Amino acid sequence: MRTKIIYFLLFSLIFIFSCKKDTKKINETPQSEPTPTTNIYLPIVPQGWPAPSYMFQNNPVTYDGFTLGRYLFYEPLLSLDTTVACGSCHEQTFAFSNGPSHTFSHGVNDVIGKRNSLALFNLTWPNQLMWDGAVNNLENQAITPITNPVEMNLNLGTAVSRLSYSTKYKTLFKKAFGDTLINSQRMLRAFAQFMGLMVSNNSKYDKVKAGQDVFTLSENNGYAVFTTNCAGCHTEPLFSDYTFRNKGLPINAYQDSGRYNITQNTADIYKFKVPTLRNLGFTAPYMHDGRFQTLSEVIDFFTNGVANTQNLDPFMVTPHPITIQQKSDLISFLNTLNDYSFTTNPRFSEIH
Amino acid sequence: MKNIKTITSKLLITLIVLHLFSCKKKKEEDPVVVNTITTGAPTVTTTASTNDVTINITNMADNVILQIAKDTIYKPSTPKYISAYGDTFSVTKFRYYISNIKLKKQDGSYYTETESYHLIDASDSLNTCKFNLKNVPYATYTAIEYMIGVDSTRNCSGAQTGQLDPLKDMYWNWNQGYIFLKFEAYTSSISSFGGHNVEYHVGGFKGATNNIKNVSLTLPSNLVVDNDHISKLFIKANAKECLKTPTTISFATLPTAISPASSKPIANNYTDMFLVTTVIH
Ligand code: HEC
Ligand code: HEC
Repeated sequence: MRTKIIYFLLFSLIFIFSCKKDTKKINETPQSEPTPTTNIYLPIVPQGWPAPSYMFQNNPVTYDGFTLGRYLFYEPLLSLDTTVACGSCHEQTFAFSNGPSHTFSHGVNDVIGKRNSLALFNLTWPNQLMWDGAVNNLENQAITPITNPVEMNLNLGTAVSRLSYSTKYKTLFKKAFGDTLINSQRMLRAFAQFMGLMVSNNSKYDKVKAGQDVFTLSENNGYAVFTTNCAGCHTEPLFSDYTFRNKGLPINAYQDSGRYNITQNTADIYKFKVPTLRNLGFTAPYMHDGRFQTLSEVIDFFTNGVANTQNLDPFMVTPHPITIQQKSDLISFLNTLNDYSFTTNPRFSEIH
Repeated sequence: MKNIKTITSKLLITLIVLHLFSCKKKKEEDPVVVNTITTGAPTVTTTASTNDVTINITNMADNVILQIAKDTIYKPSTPKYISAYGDTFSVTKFRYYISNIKLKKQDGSYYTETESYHLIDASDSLNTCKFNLKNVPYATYTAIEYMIGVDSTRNCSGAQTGQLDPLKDMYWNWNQGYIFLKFEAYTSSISSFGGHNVEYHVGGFKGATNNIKNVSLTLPSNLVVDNDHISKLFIKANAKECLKTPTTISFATLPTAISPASSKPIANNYTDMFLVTTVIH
């Protein structure tokens, strides 16, 4: 696949350089294509993975668009009191989740939300984002945290005008979009370019699948435990089928009814989006309310703690015993899904 | 693998196409690569046989022109209305989307406006209540059809601009999608929340909570489009229809309706709020 991309880049370079004088004309076509130097940030679809649901149709990725998105992601100007950025709740070391000290995320004025921050990677695959599917397109995702009173609490218009007053952003928008116009669409598309390229596909599991590594005995046994007990919802290779289900968590103090908030359909009460199991080593605490600190607790809940609440998933109605040995094997397997190259990739790191 | 292949080959083709066009030196009139992305259908360059049609919307409270109250408390001068239920109220906000406008020809075929999204705001009639349909083919038209709200495709198509810019304050962040209509008021009645404010935000485009409404209005007389004049359609929108038929709304029992499910009765009520009053040629 790498070689394909390289070929493609070479081709594009040859083409563009062969008629360099006319590059201006290229830019004048209604939807100008990225210039060759910027094409290095092609969306990645790893081999064997399903088609993403967000395909950057109206939003061709460029190096400059991606970089603008990266600046925006770490920009506290986008919060009311200029103290909170997306990166405050989504930290790279924790695979862009909030980290172990935060069960609930802290927004401006230290207001605390009622949900645990989600990790951010492989975001072009789900067609609905957030624990309850409140967001239906990656491009519009940023609207919600920016305007949410428990997150950044800033009027979207104010966000755009703050950027418009900044010479830094004038330059960055010009690089990304060809002129200094700053509007909500451009801002949101730049966010989508940055977040859409956060692909995590370089774990030990991926290497084993590519024939470049082998599982230990324990990991291999754990894989079997996973396949029997978890794969029906946490489907490979993304480790989620992105449906909404009630896994049987005892109801918490917030009485969060999950997907029902969005659909108002009683069949959705207590259903939450099946989250990925990739990078769990970085993303504790777990579940929509961060109630479990360790994978061991998660598995104990699975074997002994399932509550028969409304709309409990049929699979969870019957018990699925997991022995102590199986549990430790399963944890070994889950740890093969940690992708250190993702949490240390300089491409995504903090920038100001 | 398949995907990267198709994406790669698509990009490659685009580049080749761009390359070809960009390298032809003399001809300025090369067909531009048609942009099928941002605006949906490519605009057809039309020849002589079309003209504009002006749409003119007047927001009403039954028989009088709706006044938007600037004050936040009652003053003797504040315009007041009485609802079907009997509540006295003043309107502080009345704005809504109409979209996907079509004109029906005598032969049953349609003119369809491209990029057809209009945010009507009763507090800004000058800029929002009058607009032109472009390139309407010469013909005789008998009806106008449109949606109150925004179609589900655009609700899911990512970041929009222009009339659909989320900055227009017609967008839900907690359950993403467009707000189709906002009706805000204050009333002398006391609501179940103990206050006097009324807030109805209607939206929802999926499944059981789909509140998109299609309107089809027969014209009182034929609309003729020719090279003579720009024809005009005058439409009245009665804000008080939000509050009656089929559901008579009492402000005391329904002070707010700001989700797809709770706003459904309002949507069902306002479906019949439009009337074409005059066609002028
Ligand atoms: C105050 C903390 C906080 C801030 C600031 C914040 N987020 Fe989040 N983010 C969360 C929480 C909590 C969730 C899960 C919310 C839910 O599902 O209801 C989340 C979910 C998401 C998701 C969904 C991921 C998925 O898999 O569905 C994305 C994408 C995201 N945030 C991007 C952003 C962006 C972009 C910004 C900045 C514009 C941002 N966040 C700012 C806390 C935050
Ligand atoms: C019936 C579908 C289903 C099955 C089977 C299932 N899960 Fe889950 N899983 C979910 C759902 C839904 C959630 C989100 C629950 C919530 O937060 O309300 C979840 C959450 C998780 C989380 C938290 C992830 C995070 O980012 O917070 C972990 C870890 C997890 N599951 C592991 C497992 C393991 C291990 C198994 C097998 C032993 C398993 N699951 C089987 C549906 C399932």
